[in-house]
Amino acid sequence: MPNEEGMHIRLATALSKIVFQYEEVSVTFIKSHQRADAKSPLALLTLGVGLDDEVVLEVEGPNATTLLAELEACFLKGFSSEE
Amino acid sequence: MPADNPSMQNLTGIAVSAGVAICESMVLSGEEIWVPNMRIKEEDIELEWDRVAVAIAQVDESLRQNSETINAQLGKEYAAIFDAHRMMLADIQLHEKIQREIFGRLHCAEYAVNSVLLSYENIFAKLNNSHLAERSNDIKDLRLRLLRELVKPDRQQLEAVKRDIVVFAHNLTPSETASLNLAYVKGFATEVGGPGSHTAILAEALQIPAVVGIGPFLDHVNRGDMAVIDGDWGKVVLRPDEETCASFQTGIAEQKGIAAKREEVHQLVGQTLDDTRIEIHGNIEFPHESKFCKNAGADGIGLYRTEFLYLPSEQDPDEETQFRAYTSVLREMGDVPVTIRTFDFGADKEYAGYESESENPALGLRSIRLALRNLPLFRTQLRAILRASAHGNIQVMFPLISSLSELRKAKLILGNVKEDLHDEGIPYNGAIRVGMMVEVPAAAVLIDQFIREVDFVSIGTNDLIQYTLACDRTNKDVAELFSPVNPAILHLLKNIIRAGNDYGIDVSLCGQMSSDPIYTMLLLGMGLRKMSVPPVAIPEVKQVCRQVTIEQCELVAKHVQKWDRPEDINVYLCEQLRRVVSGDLNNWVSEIEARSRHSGWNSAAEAG
Repeated sequence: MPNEEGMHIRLATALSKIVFQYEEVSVTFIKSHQRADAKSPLALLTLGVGLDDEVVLEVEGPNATTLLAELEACFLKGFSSEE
Repeated sequence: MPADNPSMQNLTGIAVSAGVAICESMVLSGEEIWVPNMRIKEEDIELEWDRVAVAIAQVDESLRQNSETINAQLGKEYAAIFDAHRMMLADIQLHEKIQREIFGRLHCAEYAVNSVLLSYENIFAKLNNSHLAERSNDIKDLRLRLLRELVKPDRQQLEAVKRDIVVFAHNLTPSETASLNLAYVKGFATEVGGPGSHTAILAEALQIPAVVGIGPFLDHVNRGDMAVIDGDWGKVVLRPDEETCASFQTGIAEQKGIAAKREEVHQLVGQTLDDTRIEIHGNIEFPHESKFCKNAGADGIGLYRTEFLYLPSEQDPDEETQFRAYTSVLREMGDVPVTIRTFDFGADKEYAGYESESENPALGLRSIRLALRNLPLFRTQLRAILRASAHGNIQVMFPLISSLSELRKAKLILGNVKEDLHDEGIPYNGAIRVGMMVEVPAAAVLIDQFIREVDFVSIGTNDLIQYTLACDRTNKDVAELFSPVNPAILHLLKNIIRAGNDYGIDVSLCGQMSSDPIYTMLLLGMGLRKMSVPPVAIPEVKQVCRQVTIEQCELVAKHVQKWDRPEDINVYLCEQLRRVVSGDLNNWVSEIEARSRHSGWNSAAEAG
């Protein structure tokens, strides 16, 4: 997690929004055995991902690679909540 | 989580209003909004989910509007937070969880929404990251928005009740307490609160059993559970078994016997065995209470707390409304004096038109200070009081006077209002008696200066104790420091009574101290001849007066000076009370003793 504020609300909702565009893909975020469906921003938030925390993404379905690229771009964009 | 466990449970709190109620319970949970905790019928689950869906749609729409407005005013980046909230509102996991509460556990929509969102708040609050933990506030905001759509306004909820109930809540504000429908609400108990709070005073005025300061318990009670509220001993029993119910029923019957005994003294005069006349007046919050006072044989109304006129409605009562309230008290009371205290807002009595920003409202802009800053409001009240003075024996009293200039200003404004009425040809009593409350140590210490400028004074022990002992009477952590028999308080009381005698000015005591029969002998011994107490306490106090001589009381007062610990003084005063009252009243003294012990007044005595 590159973002200093960790997984904040706007980041979580932005990630969910992307995942929603890929109806047939299921994306799960995993942080120390805790799993969260990426279609639920609330679930992503409950993982409590902070700066430098490691998160594993489990992606299943067609177009998984494009989706991953989009998610990565979203992460790297930073999305500081002050933006 | 609601307890599915139907077993009996005993709780203890602070008794603030006497009596016992055994009824079905109604739970008003949630600190901010009263959330009903109701089980729904299986056939209603779809309807219940529809209610949630409608609420979500409504909140979504209002968030969309917020987003648009903010977007236009401040730009897209600021509006984005509302869009994020909308995303969360649409969250599939959230919907699933709420459905599980409704479909699986048959909780009502309000409860389901509240508990699911609260669980998210708790998860966020516990996260080891301050940025994330703050997110719980966003969830809270969503929760409250949804609840506001779902929950009917509190009063409607309570008004819909058509059965006898007892009300359980985290907290009840004085205005909520005042709005309880007495036809059905037979008692209440709250998680927070202390003795002497205005909610407690109101409960006593409404004459319903009440227990406060129980600590968290709402999760253990469901709407509809049977419950006992014992306002004598500060006990609450949830789901009482038959045996427990029966023993409380017996208690209620005994109480009725004692009450009948008390009624015998209603029409007797308040005087001691050696024929010293003791005036016992009534304290009221609402005009209808003057009837209770009259029935109990009160010598007048010693304190009409007019701020309660302002509580139930959003709008300030106009001159006409106030005039009608005051004259209705006069009609009930006949020729005896009625003391109207001008409004006393602030501290724990909030005035809707003024929001305190002070961290220490008891020391802030309240009471007479607020009146002198809101002259139109103050003048309206004085006009209503003066107009009513043409119809009966009214006297006016200013609260919380702390300096001479304040007193003089208040009197000056009264004089101005009189002139206005005179010019308009409206009748009023030009010689209306003007008094002040002595409840700030500054006034108690320099009482000789103040007393020369008024026709009477009335001692407000609640505030006097709070200010002198630097002790918040509603904070249960320090409530035990709050004692009317602290030697510093007794010293001030003696000084005020002495000044009254020196200058020939009436001194009355209208604080809670005078309503507790344990202190009656002490007060008479200190020279007090006039008290004002809640209507329920009139017969009790009168009964004590009628069984003692002034000589006995003076000995008690002298004796009390020997001790410095309030708890020792309380024990001694109980003993003395037991000695003087005749045989068949001994049970009654035990009742008073027990009640005082459990009311928190003497909690230190218990610990010691």
